[in-house]
Amino acid sequence: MEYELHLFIITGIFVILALSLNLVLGYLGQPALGHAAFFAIGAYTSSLLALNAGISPWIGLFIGASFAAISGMIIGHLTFHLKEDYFGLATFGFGLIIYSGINNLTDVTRGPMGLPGIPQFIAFTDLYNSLIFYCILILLFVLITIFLTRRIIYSPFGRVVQSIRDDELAAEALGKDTRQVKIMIFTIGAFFAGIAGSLYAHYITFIDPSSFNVMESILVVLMVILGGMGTIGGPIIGAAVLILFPEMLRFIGIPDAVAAPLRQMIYGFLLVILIIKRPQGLVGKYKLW
Amino acid sequence: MITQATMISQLFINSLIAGSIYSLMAIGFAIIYKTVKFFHFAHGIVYATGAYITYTFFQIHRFDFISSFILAVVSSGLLGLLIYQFVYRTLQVKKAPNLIYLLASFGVFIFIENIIALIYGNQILFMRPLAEASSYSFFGASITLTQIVIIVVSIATLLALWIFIEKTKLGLALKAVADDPQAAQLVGIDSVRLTQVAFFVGSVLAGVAGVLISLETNLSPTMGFPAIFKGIIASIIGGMGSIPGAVVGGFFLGFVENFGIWYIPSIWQDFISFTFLIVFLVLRPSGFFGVIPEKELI
Amino acid sequence: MPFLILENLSKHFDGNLVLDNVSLQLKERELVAMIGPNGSGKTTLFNAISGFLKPDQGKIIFKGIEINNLPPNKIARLGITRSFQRIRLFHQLSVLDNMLLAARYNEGEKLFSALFRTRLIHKEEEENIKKSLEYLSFVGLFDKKDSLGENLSFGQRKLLELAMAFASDADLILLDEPTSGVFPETKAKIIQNIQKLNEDGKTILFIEHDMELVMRLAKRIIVLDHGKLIADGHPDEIVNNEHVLDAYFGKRKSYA
Repeated sequence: MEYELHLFIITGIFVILALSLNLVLGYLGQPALGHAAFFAIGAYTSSLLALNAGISPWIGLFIGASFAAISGMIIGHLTFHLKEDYFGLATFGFGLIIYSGINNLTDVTRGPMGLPGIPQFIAFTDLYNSLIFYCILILLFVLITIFLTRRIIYSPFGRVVQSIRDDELAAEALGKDTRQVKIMIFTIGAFFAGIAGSLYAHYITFIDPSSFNVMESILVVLMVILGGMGTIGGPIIGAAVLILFPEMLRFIGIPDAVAAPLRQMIYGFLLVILIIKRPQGLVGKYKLW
Repeated sequence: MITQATMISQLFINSLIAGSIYSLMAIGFAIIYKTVKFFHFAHGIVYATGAYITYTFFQIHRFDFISSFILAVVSSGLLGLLIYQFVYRTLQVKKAPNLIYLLASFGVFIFIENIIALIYGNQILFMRPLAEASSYSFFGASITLTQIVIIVVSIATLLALWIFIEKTKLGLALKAVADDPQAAQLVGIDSVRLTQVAFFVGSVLAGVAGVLISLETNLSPTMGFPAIFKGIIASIIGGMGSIPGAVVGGFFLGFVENFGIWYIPSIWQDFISFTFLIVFLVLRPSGFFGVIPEKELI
Repeated sequence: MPFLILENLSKHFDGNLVLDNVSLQLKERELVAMIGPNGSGKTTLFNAISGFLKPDQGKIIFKGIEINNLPPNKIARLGITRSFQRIRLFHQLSVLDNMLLAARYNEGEKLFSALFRTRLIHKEEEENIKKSLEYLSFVGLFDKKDSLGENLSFGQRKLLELAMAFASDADLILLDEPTSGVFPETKAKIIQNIQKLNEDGKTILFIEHDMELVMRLAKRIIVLDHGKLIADGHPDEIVNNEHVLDAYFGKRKSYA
């Protein structure tokens, strides 16, 4: 039972991450390929605050998310004018910079050794109770994320966001300040990614750079595309499938040394096939192209 | 005793080696970009494949090095061609936007990278066909035979490419295609055929780079990733799609990274390169030399 | 004070002068056609007015405000709307959503309003929906209100474009070949709509190749050739103007 609860929590965290990317990728139509960077900023900020300054995770969560949001805003200001693949490359590069930053700033982040002993939100003595608590907490945050995403998207503002995805120039010609809207969405997307990162860190209690590398960014992109961009259900399904699928490999008895590359090989294959054959994903209606 | 002069000549050699490899990557990438106008990210995995195929023939099947090298380089060219035929060609027929190629290219990269990991494992492999011990002195610094071979072969490859581009009909068509898509038709080559040539030639260069670097360092399934990034960064610095620009960009990056160690610890090398990437993308996407002509948007 | 003033506009591309010292003025409520051979700079002029292109030289003054340095979205909000030669709609949004995006008054489009929905915002949205549906019925697209933009026929897209011009409630409307490539009955509808817009008090400048339509609709014609304004006047004067005959009609002098 503990293991199932653990999977539920991890899936929930990735659902938040995928939904946050979906705002940028699915609704705004901007190919952000470095989303793990904001996940990392949220995780490291609140972990370091808790470990070094004794700041409660409850507060650190919002400080971490705010740091992520500010980074998102800065990146937005720098890259809003870049077109599709150039934007993709720039955000991918940003992901690499953050990754190599946390890897190399060993004085602060302990680099590849990682940060152990991150405090949990509430210290339970019983593992089962702790897992139940995290299940409820994560579920709550998933629901908040869904609620806010819907609130933002099903509104005149959300209509503008989607019009930029369809034709930025035409939106501009109708008087929409596309630059401002883009930066807002980058900021909100980064904020929720930061929340996910911080939740992850204070649940697992140990983080190292390997959880935030560029492959992780591509994995989240794959979650959104697989499930279906520009829907709420899509990223949820995508995240669930891609978190639970490796567990299946383990279940049928494939050794870890083989399972890891096998899993990634399948991810790569899936990405190519989806893009060619089914760009709207499993449940999506919006076509990437 | 290491004097400053020795240090400089040592860094010079290191820069030259890095620059050669980056240039080869950047040119291959640029030739392809020039023809198809999208980012062929999977170029990096062609590079890694080149190294692993050489390893397979030379180290496992005990072929002589020259034959292994030639087999590997030709296979790299064919791999590039296959990626074009099976993935990009389908997308071209459906008139996909640029971003789609980039995502598909990531997919291909991850797919092949992990096939390599499944076959050869994640551990680091070595391949040393040349006598390690023989080293020569170069202005106080020492240079190994392997390093000389890397530099000489790179320069020879660059020269061969230059002759191909300037002196053959196919090469001239490749050179002209970016400025004028009709140019290919003028010399009687259809555009699909020309794209195939671009992928083959570009991928051969990646193969050469992959083999050369694994003589000096080692092989690992993830080796393609930094390589393609250095290639892209060098291409962007030199001006996207410009072949001479790619050479200059490659050597520039090689020198900046290596001489940067004077000021910044070497672990920050990647950080510096990626920052360069963002700075150029944001501020000067046309590179040092390229000029993006102002065009009417609508 | 004239409604729109263009003063000595010039623009180079790769050393070619695409706009060569163009000056002209439009009065409020005018219905003006712009003609000229392909590549004469007509669309470039539209791009300059709507802010998608910064002129190298010259000034554009709209309702007394200098707009040549403003971004396109600000210019649009001052009351200039434009259509594009290659129709640009939001293909994966519904026809009604397309209309609502064009609506001039849209406080609800702020992020704040999305998060905290006041009664006022709801009212505004309802009002916009009501108006949009009216315009859609007027151009004959009411039945299509829930279809996606991409599912419209070419002629329907052209009509939607016009309906959006209505919804934008802009004071100056720039139309780039509003009837090119449509069937005769759609064309008749489009003409009727343009006249309606003009009667409602809108100033309209349109690019058109169909001379019959130009003669029927416009009360003033502007002729561009090689980026230069070579004639400007009443349709009767224009068809007899020698420069125009040379540049535009070529040898087909029999037309006049």
